[in-house]
Amino acid sequence: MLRVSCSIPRRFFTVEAEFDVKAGEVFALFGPSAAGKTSVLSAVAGFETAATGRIQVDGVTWLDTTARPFVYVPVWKRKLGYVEQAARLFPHLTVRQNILYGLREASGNFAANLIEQFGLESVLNVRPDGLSGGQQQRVALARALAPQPRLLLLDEPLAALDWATRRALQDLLREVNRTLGITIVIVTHQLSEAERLASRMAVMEDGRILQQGPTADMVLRPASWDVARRVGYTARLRLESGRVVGVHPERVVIGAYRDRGPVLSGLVTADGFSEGRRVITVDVAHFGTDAGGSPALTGGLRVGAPSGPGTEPSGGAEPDLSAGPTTRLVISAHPLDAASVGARVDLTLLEPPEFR
Amino acid sequence: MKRTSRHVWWLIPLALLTAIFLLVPLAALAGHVSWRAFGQAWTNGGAAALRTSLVSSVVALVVILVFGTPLGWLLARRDSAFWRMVEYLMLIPLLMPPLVIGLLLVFFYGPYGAIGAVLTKFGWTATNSLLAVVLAEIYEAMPYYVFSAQAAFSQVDTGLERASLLLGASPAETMRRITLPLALPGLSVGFAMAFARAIGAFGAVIVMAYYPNTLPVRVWIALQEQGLPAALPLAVFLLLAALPLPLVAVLWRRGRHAPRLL
Repeated sequence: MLRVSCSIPRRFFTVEAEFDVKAGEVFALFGPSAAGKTSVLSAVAGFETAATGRIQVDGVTWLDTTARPFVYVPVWKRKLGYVEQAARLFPHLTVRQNILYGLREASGNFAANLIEQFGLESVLNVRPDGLSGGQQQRVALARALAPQPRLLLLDEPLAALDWATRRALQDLLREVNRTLGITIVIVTHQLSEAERLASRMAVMEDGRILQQGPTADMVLRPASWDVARRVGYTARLRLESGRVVGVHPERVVIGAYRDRGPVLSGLVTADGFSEGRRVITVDVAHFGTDAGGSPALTGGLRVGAPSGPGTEPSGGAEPDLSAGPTTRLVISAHPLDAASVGARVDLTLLEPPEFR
Repeated sequence: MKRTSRHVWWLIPLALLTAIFLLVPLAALAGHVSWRAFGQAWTNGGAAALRTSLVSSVVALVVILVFGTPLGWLLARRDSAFWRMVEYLMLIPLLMPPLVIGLLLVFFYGPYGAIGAVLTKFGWTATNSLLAVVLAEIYEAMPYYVFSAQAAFSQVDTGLERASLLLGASPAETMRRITLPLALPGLSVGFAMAFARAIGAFGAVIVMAYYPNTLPVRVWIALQEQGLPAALPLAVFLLLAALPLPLVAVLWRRGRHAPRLL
């Protein structure tokens, strides 16, 4: 079990992190660039000499600046695996030598199994500059796992890879977690990656953890608008009742299902594809419905059209809730949904989170 | 690439002319030195001078390696104001004329100098001795090695050193298994430059130690006392002693790391 409670001074702010990761769990630190995620990972690894607080792994204290004398275990004695976006393979060594680098003695069986599991048999005698990006990351992962660390830290290890390779390595990581039972902390700015790999996650911004908990909760129950917009919510709408709810492009369905959430009426203005999925743009002229089903004007919100569903909003500006009666929503649609350009549609916001 | 080459064709004769200009003095050796002159130069102090030069250069290089490598590493890895100041100060011995180095060394290591007086108490002398030659060669050659080492270490990705530490290798082991092997090509060139500089050291050496004669000093004496024909064979000995190591180092580095030409 990993227990982290530490502060790391940075130039413009101090990173504050407090979280626990259960043994064998995959935990994601999710947030935008410069949120302080890598600093947290670096502190756990032992590179942040200015970090204060406590870090424990399986009951062993790696850092405790509250103790006298304070405890600090050097990096090379922590026995953890660490993989970054750059594979950092030793260029003067072969793949085999890279993988065996961290082994004190030739514990060949485990390493041999890793090599087979990672599909590296054919490149064992190759130098890193002869490998593709995906192969290099496989070697980096195998190298990190070969000494059988108690903790694996991953700092956006797949960010530079193409979609298919990324998916393949995500599958490999899941398998490694399942078969070896190793605790993994992964830093990512891709929500889909966090959702795919982690059972729990923390959303970070400006050095603070905004919310942490089960991964699904981040999208279903974001604790604040700051968290919501980080996990893909693109608009806030004020309903007739005065409630302000969030709109997530993936949590809007075409049709009126009043038992599942508020229903909006709108006009389809564009119909296209984004990343292989159907995406429609709907101008919601009025939102909220009265008991008779006829539209009732309750307020409006103008939202700049994002490039596709699930994309991050363009900035942190507060939406203007009094800008006008037209709201433009870009949402995912099923290929069979009857929502051609010019058609009027009803949209149901599925159990949207409320914000004040 | 070819289209670019067509526009810079006029560079080729210019480049070749420069290369010929630099190499053509070597042809003088073939035309002006006889085998008999080599024999005479060898027996007439040349062999002893070569021995002195080789011994003093090897000792100087050991000192340079042992003390210059850590300094080069720290200059490459430390970014504090103190180490930047050290770096700037290191430029002074690098840029100082060798003759001036020699004069300063005499004042410092001579019998009446601060260190010289201490050495005298132990029965050593740092003027006109092998120790004096070694000291002069160290002062002339070490800055070249230190700055080469700094450049070599700077090119080693610190991320690789971090990766090694994370894999359980201690800092010393990381230095041995990662940093030094990756810096080796640059270090070897610095080593070769320092060797060439040490074995060819003249200005500081002649001020510090007229005796025992090193090869460069012997060349100068022969030139003064007997003229050019007597000096040339000694110059050939100096070339044969000084050139192979730097050439091998440069060729080895190019073979390992430099991109292929054309």
